[in-house]
Amino acid sequence: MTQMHPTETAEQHAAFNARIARGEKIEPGDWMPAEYRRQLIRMISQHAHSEVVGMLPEGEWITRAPTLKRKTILIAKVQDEAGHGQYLYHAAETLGATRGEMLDALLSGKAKYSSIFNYPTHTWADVGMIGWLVDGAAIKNQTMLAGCSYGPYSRAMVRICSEETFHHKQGKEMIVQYAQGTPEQRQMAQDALNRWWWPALMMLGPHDADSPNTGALAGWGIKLKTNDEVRQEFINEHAPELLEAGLTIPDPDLHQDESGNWIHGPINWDEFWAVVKGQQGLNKERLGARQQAHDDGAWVREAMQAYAARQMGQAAD
Amino acid sequence: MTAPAHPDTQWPRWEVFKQDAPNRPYQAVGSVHAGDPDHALLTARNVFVRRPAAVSLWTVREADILTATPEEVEANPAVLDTPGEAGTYHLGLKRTHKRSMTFVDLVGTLEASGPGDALRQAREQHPDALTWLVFPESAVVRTDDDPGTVESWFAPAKDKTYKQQQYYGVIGRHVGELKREGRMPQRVNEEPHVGDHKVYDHPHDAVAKKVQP
Repeated sequence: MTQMHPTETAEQHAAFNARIARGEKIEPGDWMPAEYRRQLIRMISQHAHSEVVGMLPEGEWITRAPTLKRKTILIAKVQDEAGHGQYLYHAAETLGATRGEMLDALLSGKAKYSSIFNYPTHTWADVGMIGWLVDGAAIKNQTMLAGCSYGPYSRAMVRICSEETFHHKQGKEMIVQYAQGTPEQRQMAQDALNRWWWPALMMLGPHDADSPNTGALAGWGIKLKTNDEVRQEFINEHAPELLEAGLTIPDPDLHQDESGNWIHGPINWDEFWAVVKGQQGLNKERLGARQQAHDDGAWVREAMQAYAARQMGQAAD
Repeated sequence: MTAPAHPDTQWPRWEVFKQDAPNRPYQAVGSVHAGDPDHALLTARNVFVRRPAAVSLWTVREADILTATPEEVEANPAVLDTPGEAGTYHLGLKRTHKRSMTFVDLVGTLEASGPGDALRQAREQHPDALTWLVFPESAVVRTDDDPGTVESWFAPAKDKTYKQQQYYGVIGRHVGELKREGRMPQRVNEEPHVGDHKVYDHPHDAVAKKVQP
């Protein structure tokens, strides 16, 4: 079922799988298969990168927020995302990944981040729609991950989810206000929904049949639900609320089946993969902005390094 | 693994212990990498107590902690002779594999001739523990206990309590209706004393609402 490293034995794997089956949390010092460690580092670091890159599309709007209240909310949200990146980088470090390796992987394009952040934010309403749909979808995924088998990842997810609920709420509140506002405001909210609905569905990942990692990740208690299950939860919550707000969901095939589930029409996966691979969207711009922030922060890292070295030198004296 | 091209290096690791309220045990909540004690405490605050309530934080360098499981002691009994300074040692225990927000509680102190002796005493006092963890009092870096420091470090987080997003009845039925139907979420706390971690538990298993498009 799962990959076995040459130095690992079937007994070790069986004992580990039994721990997972008993619902035990795996902690940093515990024995774990190399492939479990590798998959977690991949997932957690890419999750961290997504939080950090996720600041960019919204951060652009801080100076253009229409009121002081909205500006304050947006600043709080963007700084939360920075904090979430920190929570996750720390969780990945417990597995032996170093900060330098992870940042190199992001800046060199080797590591991916969520495709959703390669889409541009055209109007202020996009900020609200991101809060409602993108944070709403992220919460569905992260609530699931809060129950995952790796202790530090699950603990980071609990802290993140409680903060994301505020992001979700502020976005929903903003869009509902615009949806009840002037015709121009209603149009702005509708346009934002037209832009973000499909990317929000895509960000929950490929269909189960096309998701090569899901089996192993589910077996190890990392992913407790499949992409399609999480996507269904997301649509079931958001479709009726969007409709109740008076907006039109840009999917002519969307309907509720007899069991109450909202069924979506076909997703354009060509677009998804083009955006993930940076062939479409703002991948270059996002990485450029991250590279500049990294370079501009070099003096801080150097100063802290020098200070730490001096402290250690004094301690040695 | 290749060395990174830029001057980032991985600083030493520090374990972080958090106290949620006075008279509660300090609990291991995770680790940070930092170059000096102040840096370790500040990073620990930003990463582990930005929101939930806390009254005190400790950080202890990994190098100052001795930890072992019963299986490890059996395989390598020499660990009970690990030399080091004599004095007061803090003792931490892992007692279950299923806790979510921490995995080690600090349960008290003991006087020992060194870390190995502290581990030996821990093992005698708590034979059923899954992991023992000891470190000398001198290795603890702690936030000040004076009210001013506690206020400036922890009060901002304490005031930022969280409500489940369903409490905000922006759309759909008023929260009061849901409450009467018993559909409001309960707080999910695996451990009763972790009162400030309000886990997001949207009732997504509930049947989707029927609406007229």
